Amino acid sequence: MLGKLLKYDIRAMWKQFSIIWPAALIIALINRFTLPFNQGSGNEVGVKSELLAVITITVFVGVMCAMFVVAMVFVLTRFYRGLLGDEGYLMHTLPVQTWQLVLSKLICAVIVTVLNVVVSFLAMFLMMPINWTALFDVIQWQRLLQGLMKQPDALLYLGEFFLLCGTALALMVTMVYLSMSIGHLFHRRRVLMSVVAFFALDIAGNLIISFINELGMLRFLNKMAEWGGHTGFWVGIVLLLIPAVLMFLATSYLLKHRLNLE
Amino acid sequence: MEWKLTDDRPIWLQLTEQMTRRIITGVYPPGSRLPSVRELAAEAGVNPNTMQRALAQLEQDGLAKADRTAGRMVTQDTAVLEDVRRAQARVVMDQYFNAMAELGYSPAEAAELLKEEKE
Amino acid sequence: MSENLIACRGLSKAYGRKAALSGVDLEVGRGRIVGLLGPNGSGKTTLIKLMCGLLQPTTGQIEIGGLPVGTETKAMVSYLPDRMYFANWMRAVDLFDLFRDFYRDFDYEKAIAMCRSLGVEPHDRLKTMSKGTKEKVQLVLVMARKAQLYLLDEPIAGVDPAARDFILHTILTNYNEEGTVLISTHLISDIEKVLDEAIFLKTGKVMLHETVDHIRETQGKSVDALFREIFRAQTLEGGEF
Repeated sequence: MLGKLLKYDIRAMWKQFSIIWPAALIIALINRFTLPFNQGSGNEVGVKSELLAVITITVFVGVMCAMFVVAMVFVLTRFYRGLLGDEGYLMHTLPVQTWQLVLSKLICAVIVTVLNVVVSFLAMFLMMPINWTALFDVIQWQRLLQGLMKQPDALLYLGEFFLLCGTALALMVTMVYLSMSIGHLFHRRRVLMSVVAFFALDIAGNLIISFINELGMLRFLNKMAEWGGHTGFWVGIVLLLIPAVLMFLATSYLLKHRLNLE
Repeated sequence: MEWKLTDDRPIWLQLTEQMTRRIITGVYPPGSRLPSVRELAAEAGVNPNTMQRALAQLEQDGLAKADRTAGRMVTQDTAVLEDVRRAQARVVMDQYFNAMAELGYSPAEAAELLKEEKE
Repeated sequence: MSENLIACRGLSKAYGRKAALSGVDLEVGRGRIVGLLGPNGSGKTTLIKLMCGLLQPTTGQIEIGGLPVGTETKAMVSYLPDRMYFANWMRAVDLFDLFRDFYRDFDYEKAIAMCRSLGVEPHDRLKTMSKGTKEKVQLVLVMARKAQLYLLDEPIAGVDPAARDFILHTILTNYNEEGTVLISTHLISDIEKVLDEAIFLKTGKVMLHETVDHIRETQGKSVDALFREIFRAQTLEGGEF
């Protein structure tokens, strides 16, 4: 059932981003030709082309900003409208467990954010005046590969780093979800109460961390340097995962037992 | 033929009456197969259970027979059909004689008048 | 299988301090078409939403087919809400895909056939459809399932008489005969003749639960007339003119 839910959530995501992602890449490519990368000393830079460059880079920055704003709004509204608004009438009457509904939204939110970052990097890459023949130089790649073989850890570190980022992201999203579910418990001013809940959760989280710190339970983190990098990463991932899972469970519980679509 | 349902009486009774009328006027000829409950219910815009009850009454009255394979058939017993037709005719005649009595005609005079009018 | 399809015991629901339903005891059997009748604000929508799990009861219990409301009961219930619930970018066929994916009793071919007979092009985007057409799509989604329980919340409100007949005809010709249909409405005269039973709701309480035939036989008047009588008295009691 989760797979089917994901299918529809991802389809909705594609609907939202199928224009802005390609647009970002195309505008990046245009910038590649309008930006005066190679026009150093001696070359004349016409006022016209300079103006053009300013316009295109402005558009590019605008699209990039829009992309992240759209992603943020998407993550919020897919949950709020999709599970707590009119679309919830459909989703909550499907014969599906509530936690699957939430998990599907969560996975989709993480995918959107990750793809946003990927598109941004790709766009930067397209904008650079890259020497394409050099890029496809096989010997260069061979050397890179050989280097990696000598340091197999590097790839692992990279993977762990991404996993850590993903977990942090999931934590953030579950916190937003939980805030909205708490806001939904009120009969009026649900949006306002969601915002209040978010800050309350944030403060509560900080209090808990400092409390645990007081107890000296986090002292083991000081020894992290001795354990080496990998353990450090994994400890970090687990530390982020615990509150994320707790908040996910709390959200599912609230939606299952306290849902009131009015 | 339209289905006419009024508000004051149970719907199944009215359906029975109208089905009876359809049978004796030959809309559903003797020995023919009646449409299914579902079809009739949809046609009359009524609940299938209500139509079911009306048809059960028809069976009780001897106007229809349930056949295990072919659904429901109109009876071929002409005696039964004639009895029902007579009963309905009697209702119409009673109405006529009552109305005529109000106007001051005796039953004999009323019958005579009717005969003259028809010639 | 339990005998009653719907069983409510001491069911109450309050929004904040305002009670929408109080102490509802209700049993509805299988294979019936039941009218849930009451003026606006009498708790009809609340009761239906409780049955499909969109609201949680304040006190009391509901069972559908002998089970508490949950994933299993949701698979048995086909619900027509009082509002549009789908995203505008979808087409009717996308929704049919979704229903086929999630409901085992959804008949895809029947849905397409129903669309054709209702004059709806299933490949059109919902965005381009009129409100009436979207309502038809939603009705198709609900009636193309072979469900145990159909919960139809105000299916004939706000449509013209021709469309009303059409909707009732669609319901009558498509519902699963072993299933029960519960129709909420305040327009009783229009649906009276399709009902087996009538439930009168008044300010969150069940006032009357009887078969339509019985009401007509004992009261000598239609359910609609009885309804008007009961609810006219209500405003007089309140002392409002």
